[in-house]
Amino acid sequence: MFFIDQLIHALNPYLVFFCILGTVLGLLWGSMPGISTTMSMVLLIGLSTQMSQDVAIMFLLGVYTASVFGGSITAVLINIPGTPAAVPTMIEGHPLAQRGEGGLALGTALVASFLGNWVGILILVVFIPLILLIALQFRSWEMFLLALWGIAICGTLTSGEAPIKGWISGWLGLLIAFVGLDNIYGVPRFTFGSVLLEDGISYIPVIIGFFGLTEVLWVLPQKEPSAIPEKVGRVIPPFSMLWRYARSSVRSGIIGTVIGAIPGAGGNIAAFVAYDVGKRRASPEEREKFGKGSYEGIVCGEVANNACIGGTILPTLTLGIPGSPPAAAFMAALELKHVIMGPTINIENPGLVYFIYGALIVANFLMYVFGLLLVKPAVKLYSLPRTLLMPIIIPICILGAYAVRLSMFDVYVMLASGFVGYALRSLGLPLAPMVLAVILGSLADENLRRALITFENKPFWYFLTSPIGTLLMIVSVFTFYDGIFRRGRKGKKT
Amino acid sequence: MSKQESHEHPKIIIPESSDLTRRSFIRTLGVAGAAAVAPMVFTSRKADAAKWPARPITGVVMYAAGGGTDTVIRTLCGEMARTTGWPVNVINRPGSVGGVATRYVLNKAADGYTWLGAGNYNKFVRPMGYTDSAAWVDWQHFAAAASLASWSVRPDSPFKTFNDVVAAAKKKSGKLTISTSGVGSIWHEVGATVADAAGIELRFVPYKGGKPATVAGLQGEVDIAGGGVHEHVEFLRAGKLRNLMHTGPKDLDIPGYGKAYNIANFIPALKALLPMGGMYSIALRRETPVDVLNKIKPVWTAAAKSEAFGKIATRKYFQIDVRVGEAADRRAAQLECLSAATLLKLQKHIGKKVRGPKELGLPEPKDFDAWWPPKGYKPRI
Amino acid sequence: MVSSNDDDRKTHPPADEPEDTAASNLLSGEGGDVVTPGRDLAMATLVGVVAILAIILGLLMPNPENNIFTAPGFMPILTGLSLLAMSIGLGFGALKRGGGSELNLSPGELLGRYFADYENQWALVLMGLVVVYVVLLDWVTFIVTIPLMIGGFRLGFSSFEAVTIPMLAIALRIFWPKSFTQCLIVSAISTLVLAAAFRYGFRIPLPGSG
Repeated sequence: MFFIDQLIHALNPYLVFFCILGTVLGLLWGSMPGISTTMSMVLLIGLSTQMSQDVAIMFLLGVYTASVFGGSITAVLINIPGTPAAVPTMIEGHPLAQRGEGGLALGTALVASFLGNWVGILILVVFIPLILLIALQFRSWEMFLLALWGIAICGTLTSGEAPIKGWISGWLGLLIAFVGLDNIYGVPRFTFGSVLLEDGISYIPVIIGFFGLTEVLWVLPQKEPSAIPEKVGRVIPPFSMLWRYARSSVRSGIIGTVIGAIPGAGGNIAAFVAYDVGKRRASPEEREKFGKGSYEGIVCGEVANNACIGGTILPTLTLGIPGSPPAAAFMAALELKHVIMGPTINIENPGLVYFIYGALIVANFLMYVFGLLLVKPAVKLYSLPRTLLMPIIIPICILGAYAVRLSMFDVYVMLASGFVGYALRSLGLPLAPMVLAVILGSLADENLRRALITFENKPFWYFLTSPIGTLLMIVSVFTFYDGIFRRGRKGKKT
Repeated sequence: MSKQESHEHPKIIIPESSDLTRRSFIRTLGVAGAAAVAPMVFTSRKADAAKWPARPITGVVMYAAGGGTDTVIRTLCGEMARTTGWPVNVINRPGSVGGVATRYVLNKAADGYTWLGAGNYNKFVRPMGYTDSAAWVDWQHFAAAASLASWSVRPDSPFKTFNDVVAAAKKKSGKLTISTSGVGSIWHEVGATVADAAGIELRFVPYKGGKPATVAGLQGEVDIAGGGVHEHVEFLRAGKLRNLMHTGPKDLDIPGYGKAYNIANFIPALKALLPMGGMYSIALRRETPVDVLNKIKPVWTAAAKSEAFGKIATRKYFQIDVRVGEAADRRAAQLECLSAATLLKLQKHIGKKVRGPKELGLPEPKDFDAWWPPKGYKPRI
Repeated sequence: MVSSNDDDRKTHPPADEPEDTAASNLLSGEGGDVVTPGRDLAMATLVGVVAILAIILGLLMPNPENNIFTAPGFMPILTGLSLLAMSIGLGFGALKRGGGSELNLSPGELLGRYFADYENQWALVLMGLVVVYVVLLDWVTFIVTIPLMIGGFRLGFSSFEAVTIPMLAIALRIFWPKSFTQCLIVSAISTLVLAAAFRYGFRIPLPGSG
């Protein structure tokens, strides 16, 4: 069987070594406040450029899986979320740590993350063949609509009460994506006569700038929160806890995966939504505990943010549309390894999808083992001041941007993106939609124009003959309607 | 952490001593400057042919990663690196049918450290006006292999043979759609040449490469899938496409599929032009020291004939076609001459001013044999 | 350079972050600054200008097939038009919420307000430092290689290290409360480790020359 072969391949000691490397880096970086999952992925793209395809996959999935859990370590013990996705864990976990139950809280988070990964992997395994089956129905017109809707929904989801800001961010990203020679006629667009710009703006330095440099510029000048970690005690992974919260676990897992699969919405939204739903669905006595240290709350958040990983990988592999910023980084790394993502992924890269399942499974076990081992060192590392760690990120950003194409131009693109990201953040615009649009912009453009060529000489209602296209149109219209009239009004009230 | 949160925090940890006004910032800069200048011992970066390669070589592929050119160049560069230990990094600079990569390499020193990973002897860039450098005047190409064009349809298509396409296209001229790997690309050119010879007009729909063009045919977005045999063959074997014709010199027997007929079966007039398709080569600036070029020549030839490359070539139906020195120069000139003439004829499809053979200082294709070697031509190796 | 604002802040009582703040920060994505209607208005204006520019440039793009649907400028124009609509929407919203009042401030005052923020000052210093760093990396290129006897291994020292060590030391010195020597040591160690990881560990050339 293909899958068993690939799983055995993923268990190759050499590959496992790199996965361990990724897991450890991910755990430590994820637990470091200021270095989010996205940032750790983004900074490591550069390192992965010279790895072989399977090594890079094992390495990056190790980083991805572990950094999501890593965020909860500091969240529980120091009351600062290592990654934004760990906020629910922080809300519930820190009060527990103050009561001396830190070990149990972290253990719950670890077990929940472990379970979350399994939910994500299972849903991935079940849905990839289904999506690939209909993925061939995604032609130019459907791809255009999907990209458009992806950017719009990402804007809605990341900008809270003012979706219009998310859309503006996305639309500005589209304009950036158009820079360069157009894909169809080779006509220069927005290049202002510069040969360098004709090459277009590669999204990898943009991601590195947005999620690496911007973060440093944002966080470094801030006052450093001084905090004393709570005592950990022994980390006890209580599997019985999961049994007690089985319903919440499964529910949160599904919420996490589905949100992950929606373009642009990542682990933080997954964790928050699952937490919120969990709070409302909890039994009255458990609901009382929410906010003061509820294990169920931790389970909801952690299952969801890890289940999200499987979810975000789903559209990345089957449609070439990343489900979240870390998935965009993963996609960038795969692209550098000449993996062609999209409906033909199984034909182009036989066995790759199975290998990715295998890698996720290996990474999940490693996260569990090293999660237990590394809690204490991770807390120690946190006692290193942020003002010491953050400046070192700057050369890593530069090396990462340079390594991809060995181009100083990309370093300047990274630099400019870092500054633009800082400016947008100051103005309250979310960055994720812009990144997604930079990735999807030329795809949307090319597919729209090509779709219109294929609509030539056909009756004008021809574009309604595709069921998926029509569905996507309805969904897109609803997203805009919802953003303008419903959320907009809600925003005004508050 | 948001900025808003930090407003609520009471203390500013950044120490007083880091206040720039209180710091002798200039002294700091001075230290920095000294540290930067002290170790500046420059190694000679001039071409030293005897010691070549003293540092990593960069191969600049002119098409996107994952495509035919990219696969071939990466395999060959990997094979060369394996046998000689030369460090070769391959990067991609796609855009303007190779114009972007061409200009990139032209801007680098002619020291043998930057190679152009070229498709089709870079024959499109001059007619399209992206550069003025000519393949046999400013470059030395080392060619390894060639690919073949293919037209295929879905199994449920009404077209059983190439002749069905011709009949249908004559009925509704310009309405049948065929996918290409981009405007002015190799599959566009071959497709247009075939259509022209068959006396039909097709609507060419551009995709980002041969692979997406193939998938478009598979999805039924276009009536005919254009592309290369190497891009269609997996789908032919899987029974998802039916081949109508290819541009090989002979009919192909594809295991698991059956016989694929070449275009000469349907249009005998094209027989003389076969094989038509993509060519894969590396090119160095012609001023590169002859010693360096001579070092590359045997290594390249060996790589092209290596087992590793042979395997890929067999699987993908590439024809091994090693040309170096004058053979490569002649082929480059001939192909550019043919393409310039074809592109000029197809100018209205290209949508851009095309430079014809005359403008490029080339003869008409039929006069090529008499014209070569041109005045002032000297083989470099 | 440090304004008296810091003193204001020091008087704020330490406040534990309430749950709701954390939640709403999460929902707003990366967590933004306090956004006033005035800023929204300024942003709307800026975005509007960008949109109009995009439309103009899109209209000027050549159109090889003389077919609006396949024209290279088609999407830029569409994007520009919808962006313009969004900026108008945002602008009106901001005006309704009283964004106009902040228009009375002169640009000087607005900039003054911006620079009065302690964090903004340091962010700008940091940005300047990064720009200088990257430009130096771009301009200074050299590599010294020392061949070792073992297996043709070449020990390298390039412009990357030469530029990074002092620049990183400066950045550390500004934000990390330790002496310059300590900063220089940390900077040198981390730079050399980083360079070694890329150059020898992963065989990735460094900016400059390798």
